Amino acid sequence: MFFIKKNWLTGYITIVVKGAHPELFFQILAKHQIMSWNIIKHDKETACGRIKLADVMKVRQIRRKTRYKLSFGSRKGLPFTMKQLNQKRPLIIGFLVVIIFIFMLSNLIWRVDITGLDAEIEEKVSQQLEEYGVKTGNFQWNVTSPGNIQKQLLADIPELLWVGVKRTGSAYHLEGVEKTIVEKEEPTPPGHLVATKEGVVANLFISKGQPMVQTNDVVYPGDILVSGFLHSSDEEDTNSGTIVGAEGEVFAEVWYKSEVTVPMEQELQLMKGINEKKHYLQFKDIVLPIWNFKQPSFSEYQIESEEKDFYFLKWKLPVTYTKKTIYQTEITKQQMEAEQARKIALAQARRELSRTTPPKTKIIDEKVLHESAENGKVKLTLYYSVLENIATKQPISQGD
Amino acid sequence: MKKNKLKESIMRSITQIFDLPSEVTLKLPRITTIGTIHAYIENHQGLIIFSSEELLLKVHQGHVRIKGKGFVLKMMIAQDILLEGEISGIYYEK
Repeated sequence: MFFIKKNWLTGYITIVVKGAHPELFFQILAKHQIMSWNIIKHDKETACGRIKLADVMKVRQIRRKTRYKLSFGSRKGLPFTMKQLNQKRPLIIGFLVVIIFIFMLSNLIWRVDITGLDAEIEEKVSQQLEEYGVKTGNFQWNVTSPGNIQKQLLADIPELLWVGVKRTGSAYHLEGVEKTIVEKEEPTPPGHLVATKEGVVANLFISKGQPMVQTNDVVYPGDILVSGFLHSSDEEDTNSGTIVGAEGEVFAEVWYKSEVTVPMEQELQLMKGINEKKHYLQFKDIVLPIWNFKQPSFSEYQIESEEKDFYFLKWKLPVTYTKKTIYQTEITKQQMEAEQARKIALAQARRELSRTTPPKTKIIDEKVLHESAENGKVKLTLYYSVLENIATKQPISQGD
Repeated sequence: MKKNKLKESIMRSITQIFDLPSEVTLKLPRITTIGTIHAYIENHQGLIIFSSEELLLKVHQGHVRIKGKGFVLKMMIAQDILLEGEISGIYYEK
């Protein structure tokens, strides 16, 4: 019933008509183009119905010409509801204040727990956290996501091996693991040291075991470098000696050949310092911009977005706040000289080499075998000889 | 009276030939009922009796009487009435 809804907005009033044939009064009203509805006849001499608030004056004028008695009943509709609300204003304001208060309190950080760390490092972590804004009494929306905190903490405190940051409601729980140098005094199981790569032995540093090779020996993968069997040279039977776990490092000269290709024209995406910020409120799938409606004025840009949740008591509200920062970028094409490209190629080859070899490796020689520049690319074939620890443990199966 | 009857028969045939809505051309009431709970009467010419058991309306050349229980006039404007209640019968009277 659309018209009743509409009348609710403008307000309506119930009138009670008394007299002989009271229903005819509504007929008279209808003749005068006054709408009435919900007309009920209670008994022979009384009927009530509803009319619009705006028609009250007209109805009064019409009544004067008739013999009916008219009395006004309850008033309803928006104007009256507003008036009632106005009278209850302190209550409503109080209610709103309480909701806002609870909302604010729900978004505070109430507790920060740190577990699994020494007092010293714990202090360090909590200081660092305070710098990020993670401290009791701060609002959660001033703090980045737990994932970010985790990353920042690991970067800023080198003593931490791992840290887990978890947010449960209004509390942050941190669980850390320290980097500790554990000196394990485990006896190494009996075994040999064998070569993993082909090379020429350069240095031997052996703490346990019997060396089987000498400097300048050529070894192949699988060759025993240091034996776990200890026996004096005059004993023929190898099995009679004591067996130990061989330990040590055997550095050998190993050769690598690598090919690198570097394009002479490079595209670089550079960030300029200029950025624009856009703010959004997101309700489920609907994204509503609330600040800065402009399209970004940059032709090339990169967007970083940051999302924040709101809580009410323990519930996560369906509304999230998103801040998008649009950075202006510039794509520059860089044309390099062949010489420059060659340098880059060399550096790249060295990086790759150090990634594939164990940490203590030293490059002792670097030779360019072949170099070509064609189709805008520089191609290098390189030869490296490096000093590298090639020993690896191989357990002896004792068969008993 | 004769003139009136003639006019009416002409109007009736025009309405039939041109397939016009008869309630408009002949000033007849149009009563739409929804089951026995609603009756929407258009083109009436005045309310004569209304009580919780009965509604009597003046229409073109006669009266319409609706009987039932618990009648409420849900809406009343110049020519239309929406009646709600338990309708048991609609009668046309001269």
